[in-house]
Amino acid sequence: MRGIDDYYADINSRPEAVATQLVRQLADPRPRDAEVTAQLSSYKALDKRWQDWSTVTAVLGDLAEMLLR
Amino acid sequence: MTTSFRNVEFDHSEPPDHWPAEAIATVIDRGSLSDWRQLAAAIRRNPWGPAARTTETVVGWDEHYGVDALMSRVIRHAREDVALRARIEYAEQIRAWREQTGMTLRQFARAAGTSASRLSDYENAKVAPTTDVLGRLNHVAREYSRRRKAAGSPSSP
Repeated sequence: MRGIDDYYADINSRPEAVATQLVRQLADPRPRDAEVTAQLSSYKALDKRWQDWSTVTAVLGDLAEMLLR
Repeated sequence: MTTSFRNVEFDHSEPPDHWPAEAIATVIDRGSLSDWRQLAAAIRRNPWGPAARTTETVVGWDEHYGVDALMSRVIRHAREDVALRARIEYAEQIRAWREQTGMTLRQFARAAGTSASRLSDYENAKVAPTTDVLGRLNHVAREYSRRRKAAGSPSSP
């Protein structure tokens, strides 16, 4: 098992690791404090557009898909 | 291609529609952005093709964080795009049929047994006509063309 990092070197040393993880999270955002996603309207100065979590996830999903182009 | 395939032998230069299912599952499981980009392009080219079908199955296992959601979107949008392009083609065809008769929306709609607002939706690709309606619209255009030929000169609708 000691050589496992070498075996999976294609994952561990790839140049686009950050972009790959970014796309994963944009496509399926899972905030730890998930309950606040239902309370976005209580945040100060948050544009009305972003107060609905489903709008936020839809836009993030579109962005993830654009990064695949 | 940044992913190593340890379990399958295949020609990586082939398009994903020719890859074994295991290779597609590997790309979804351990691939990176450029691999997913390649897969997404194959899905957009052939939304019901082998790569799309395998991807649909693999992301259905719900085991790949982010990629499942991403590829599901890509498949859904690729399929919706086909339907949208079809609606646009029908729209162009229907408008061409109507223009060839010289009729207004209202006249052409009436002759084909539909409403002007519905016909407008077809011509603007908002709605796809059923094959039944498509047949009726085609019939009106054909009949007009036949009558005009019989009369030997352009006639009014």
